[in-house]
Amino acid sequence: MSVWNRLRRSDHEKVRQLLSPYLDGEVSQQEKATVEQHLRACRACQDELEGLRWTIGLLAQTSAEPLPRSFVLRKTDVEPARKAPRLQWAYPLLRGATAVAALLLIVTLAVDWGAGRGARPAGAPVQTRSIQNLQEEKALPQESAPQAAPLATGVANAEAQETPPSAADAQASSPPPLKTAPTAAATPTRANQGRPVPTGVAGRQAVPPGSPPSPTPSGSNRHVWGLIEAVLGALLLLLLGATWWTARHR
Amino acid sequence: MDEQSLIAAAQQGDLTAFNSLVEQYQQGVFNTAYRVLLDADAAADATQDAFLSAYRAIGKFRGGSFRAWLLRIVTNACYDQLRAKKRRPTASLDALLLSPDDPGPFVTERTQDNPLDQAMRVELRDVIHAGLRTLPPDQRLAVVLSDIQGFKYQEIAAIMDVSTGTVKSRLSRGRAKLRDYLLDQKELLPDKYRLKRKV
Ligand SMILES: [Zn+2]
Repeated sequence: MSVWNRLRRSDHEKVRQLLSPYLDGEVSQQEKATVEQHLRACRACQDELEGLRWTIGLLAQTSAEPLPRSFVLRKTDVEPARKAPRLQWAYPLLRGATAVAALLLIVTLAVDWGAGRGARPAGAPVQTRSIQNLQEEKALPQESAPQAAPLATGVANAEAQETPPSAADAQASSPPPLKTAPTAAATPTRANQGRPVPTGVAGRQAVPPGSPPSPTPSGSNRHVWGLIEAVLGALLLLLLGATWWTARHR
Repeated sequence: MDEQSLIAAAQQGDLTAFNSLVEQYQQGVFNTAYRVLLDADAAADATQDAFLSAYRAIGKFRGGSFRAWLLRIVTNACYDQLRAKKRRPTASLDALLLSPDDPGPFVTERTQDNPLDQAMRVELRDVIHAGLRTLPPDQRLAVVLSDIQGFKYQEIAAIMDVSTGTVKSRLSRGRAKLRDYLLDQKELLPDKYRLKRKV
C-alpha cells in the first residue's frame, strides 16, 4: 500500500465520524474542508452521507402523534403535591404508633389475664364452647335474659384468657368484640370473685338467676382495667384506619 | 399574555397561566416522550409527570428557552419510565411493538390526507419507530431531539446534561444505526420513501 493510500485510509475513518456533524454544520472550517475534499474521491463516504441525509429526511417527515388527552393541570393535581411530603413522614410515624398501641393492648390484656388466672384453680380447662353456648342462650326466650349478660361477658373473657394476642387482633380488626370488651373484663371476674370456677358455663350455673353479682372491693379496679383495654382497642382501630388511609394516599 | 408574562404569573402560583403554557407545549412534549418511550401510555404518564414537576419547579426557571427547559424535565421523566419498565420486565418495550396487522391507536391521524398518503405515513412511522427501538435510549433521545424536535447540539447538551462532544457522538452513532436498520428494512417502506441510489 502506498503512502498516499494509507493517508487516504486514515482520512476515510476520520471523515466517516465527521459526516453526521458535517450535515448539521457542527464542524470547524478545517474539518469541513477535509470532509469535502475526501468526499470528492471516496464513493463509500458519498453513500454514507447520502444514507444519513435520507434517514434525517425520513425522521423529519414523521407527523405529530395526536394527543391522547389534554395535560392541563387541575387544581386537584396540584394540591396533593403540597400534602405529599407531609404524608411521607406521617406514614412511618402512624405505623410506629399503631405498633405501640397494639403492644400496649397485648400487654394490658396479658396482665389482666394473669390477674384473672390467679383467681382460677390451676389447670382448669378454658371453656371453648362458650360461644356456642352464648348463641344458644341468645336464642332462648326472655326469661333467661338475666343470665345472658354475665354469660356474654364470660365468653369474651374466656377468649381473652385463651389467647391474648389474637384477642387483641380480633379487637383491632372488628369492632363488635371491642364493644363487649369493657364489660367482658369488668364483670365476669367480679361475678367470679372468690368463686372457684370462672369459666362460661360453670360461671353461669354458679350465678343464681335474677340475683345480681355481689360487688367486691376490687370491682372498681377491674372496671379500670376494662376501660383501659377499651380505650386502647379504640385507639388501635383509629390508628389502623389512619395508617391505612395514609398508605393509600402517599 | 406573552410567554414571559405567563411564566412570571405561573411562578407566582397562577395555575391558569401555567396551563396556557401546557396547552402551548404539550404536543411537543408528548411527541418527544412518545418517540423515546415508543409506548403511548408510558409517554402520557411521562408527559403528565413532566408538567407536574415543571409546575413545582417553575420558581427555579431562570430564563432562556422555556421549551428546552420543559424538554429537559420530560427527558428525566422518560428515563424514570424506562427504569420503571426495566423493573417490570413483563411489560417490556419489545412486547409493545406494534404488529403489522395492528396499526395502533393512531390510524386516524391526518384524516385530511388522502387514504393512500395516510396509510403510507402510518407505514413510515411504524418502520421508524421499529428502527428507533433498536437504539440505546441515549442515542434515541439524541436523534429525537435533533432530527424530530430540531434542537441544536448545544441545546441537546443542556437538555441531556452532557457535553456537546457526547451529543455529537451519540447522534452520529444513533443516526448510523438507524440508517442501517432502515436500509435493511427498506422493503417495509412505501416506495416513495426508499433511498434511490445513484447508479
Ligand atoms: Zn471515505
